[in-house]
Amino acid sequence: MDRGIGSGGAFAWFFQRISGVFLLIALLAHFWVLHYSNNGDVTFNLVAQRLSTPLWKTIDLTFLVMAIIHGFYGFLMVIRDYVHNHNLRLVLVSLVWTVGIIVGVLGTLTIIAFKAPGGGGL
Amino acid sequence: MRYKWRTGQWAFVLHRVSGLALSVYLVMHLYVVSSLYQPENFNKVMAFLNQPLFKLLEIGLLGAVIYHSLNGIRVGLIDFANGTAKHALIFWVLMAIGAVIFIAGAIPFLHHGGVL
Amino acid sequence: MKITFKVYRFDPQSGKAPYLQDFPVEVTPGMTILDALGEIKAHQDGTLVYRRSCRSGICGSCAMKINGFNRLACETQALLLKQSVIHVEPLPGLKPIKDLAVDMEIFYEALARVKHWLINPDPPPTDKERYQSPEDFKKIEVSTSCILCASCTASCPSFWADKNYLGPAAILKAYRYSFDTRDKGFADRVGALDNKHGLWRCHTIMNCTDCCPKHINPTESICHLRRMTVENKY
Repeated sequence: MDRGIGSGGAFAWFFQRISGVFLLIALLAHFWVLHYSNNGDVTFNLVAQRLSTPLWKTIDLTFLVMAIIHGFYGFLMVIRDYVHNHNLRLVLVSLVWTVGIIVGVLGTLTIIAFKAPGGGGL
Repeated sequence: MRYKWRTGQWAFVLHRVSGLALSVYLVMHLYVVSSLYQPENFNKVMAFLNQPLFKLLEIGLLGAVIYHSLNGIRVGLIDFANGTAKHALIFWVLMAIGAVIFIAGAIPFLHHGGVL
Repeated sequence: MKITFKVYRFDPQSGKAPYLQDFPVEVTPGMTILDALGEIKAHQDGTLVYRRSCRSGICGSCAMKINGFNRLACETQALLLKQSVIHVEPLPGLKPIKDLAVDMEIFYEALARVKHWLINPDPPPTDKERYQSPEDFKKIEVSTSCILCASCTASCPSFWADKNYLGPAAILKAYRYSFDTRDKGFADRVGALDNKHGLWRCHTIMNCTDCCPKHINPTESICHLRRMTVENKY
């Protein structure tokens, strides 16, 4: 019998629910802060102001990690459901992991390495 | 004849499609945001994204986010709160709420973007 | 009232692709799809193949896809469908053997994987049977009424996509025995359940619950077993 790749799926299932709840709350805050509290203008200064505090950096970093894992677990789930060819599955799963890690690193660098022009940052 | 599509199957397929779309958006979003390393760069990108076309796409994004969130709540209720028996009712109630949120969210959005 | 039955015909020996054949049948009130199939077999085409046994919704042999929805042919009255054309096809997702008869092998194999029988290493009492209180039976009562007709498993998109998936019927059976107070076999079943072809393939699409002719809710049992598995693990 085809055993597929990876674990049974208990953790993925459970984590999708936990991260889903987190993302729901985080997204509400994200939308509010970016689009409604400041009249909808997203300028460098506004983002810079926010991103220069360690608290916001932490929040954004958690948000980033949760969003990536939730989204890419979703991709893996779809692949598990519909791709039964072992080699093709291996290729697709590796692709999802690669893109996920690259995007994760890119996002992390953006948040961590960010320095407001007037100093600040971590 | 193909198998009859009931509420649950629509909800599931839309959940997958919106989820995949949101994942793709996440990648693009992080790419755009990575332009933060340079102020001029970032403001340039933001100005570019202020075109009506992108505003309309963002409305689609809003719809996908609302749908995926609300149906996610439904999935949670099914999984943890014995929501199976009333899953269709839960779906339509949440979709009604979603429609209100969508309209309430889209109007100021479009208004600000200069479309309305 | 005259109703046209579009019946799925398939004969592997003919080498022809499956096709739908029209059979007009004069339908009277109370007549079921199974009655109509009997009418066709008796008076129009004796080569039509379908399974049936009890004709009263107990044996689970005559489950088929009627107007795009899995139901028991013996419990579906033709006039109540309110259509002048009725499509009668085999259960989807299972391999057709001939006409409306499908190969149920993988369905039974999934049942065996979850060990759908009482597991209790303790020897039974010699003077009586293993007793169960009415309250304890109440907990599993609905799930014991499954007749293994395969409507649910054959309606499940996750099963269509992965034929190794246990499917709602087998998981319901696992639930029925695991929550039976006389049974001690959950540890023996968890391997088949907590598996990539087990509980986690269910995406609560609800087709199984929608079509169950016995009004059982397999999705609820799946959710229950999932919560139990996660609680035991983390």
